[in-house]
Amino acid sequence: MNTNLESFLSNGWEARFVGASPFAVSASTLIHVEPITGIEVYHGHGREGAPPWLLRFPGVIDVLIDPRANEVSIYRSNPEIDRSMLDHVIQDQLLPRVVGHFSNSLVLHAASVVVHGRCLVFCGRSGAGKSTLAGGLLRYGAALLSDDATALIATDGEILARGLCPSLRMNRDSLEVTGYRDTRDPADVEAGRKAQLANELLEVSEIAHPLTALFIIDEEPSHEIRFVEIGASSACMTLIESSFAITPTDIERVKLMFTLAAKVTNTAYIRQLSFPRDFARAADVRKALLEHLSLTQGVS
Amino acid sequence: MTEIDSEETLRPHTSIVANKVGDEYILLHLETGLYHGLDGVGTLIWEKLSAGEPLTAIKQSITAKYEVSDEVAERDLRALIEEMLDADIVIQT
Repeated sequence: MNTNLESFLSNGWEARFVGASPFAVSASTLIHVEPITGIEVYHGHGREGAPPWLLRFPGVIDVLIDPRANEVSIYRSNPEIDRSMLDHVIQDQLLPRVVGHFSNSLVLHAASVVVHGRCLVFCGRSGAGKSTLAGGLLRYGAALLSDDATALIATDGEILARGLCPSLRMNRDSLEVTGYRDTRDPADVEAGRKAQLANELLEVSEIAHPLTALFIIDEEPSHEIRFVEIGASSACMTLIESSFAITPTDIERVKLMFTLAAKVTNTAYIRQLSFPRDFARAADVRKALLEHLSLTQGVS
Repeated sequence: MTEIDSEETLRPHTSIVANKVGDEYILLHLETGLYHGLDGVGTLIWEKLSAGEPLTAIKQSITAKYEVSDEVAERDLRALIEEMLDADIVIQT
């Protein structure tokens, strides 16, 4: 199984798919439960000398993470889970947390594209409109870095952005407004789930690009399309809240994430993007975005 | 209310990590997991406190930079110090 993990963690990390989960964990080792996803984090899972982390993605997979052996072992906890859901959880939930925890990058819940050589990142919660924005820009000649998780790497005076998994998943309305038809599994659309587009439809880029602009998507729908400068401390806090990691209880990791978020805030062009959640106005949003970046020349 | 002498120096709690973003500081308390944002005056106070300056010197810096009276500077300084002590951001030396 290619989880793309090895390319983000430089010291020989490996991910392997093992099979059915053998774990019966003790509640006493539970150290954290993510409020929205319900992902459970266990430490040592109750056995002496056991690998430090066990992550349970409820009803899908259990994952043992062993930083000493640089190894991620994935166990299926529900044999009835289909391939589409399994891929989604591994690519969009597991991979960002592992890379976010063990690399020197800040992994944001964010979509990212490259348009005319400029790299744009859209940071926002699930359902904020990241994929629709990204998908719309792909129709205008953009290349996709990621629709859900983007790693920001701080170098001397520059921030680089790299998508963790260059795939695009959209719900039915977004598919219609962006004009995409072919999904990997049409049953996803029928079931009302987000469907992953066939990757051969997309131009993707798997390398790191210098970040041009980072947009924090306003959760409140707005009639107007606005690009608002926000305070540095507010921007920094939003980046921290939007970052992936295994657990907020790991002090060293929290300190590093804080430092990385501050570096990104101090270096990058960051604006809050407010826009109407009206699919009929998706083209207006796209146009305003390109105008804001003075990219309209040469865009047909 | 905690008694704070004007010649006293306070120091950051050992569990505080501070990063400057733009012109402001954000403080993270590693034990509580809480983040605290400081505005312009707060940032000035934090920098002076971290440098080990006593409260009287910090008050003078506030009056000089913001052109406010001694009374206003004293009130704002003591209000923030109280908050920082309550949140274990700084401790009395």
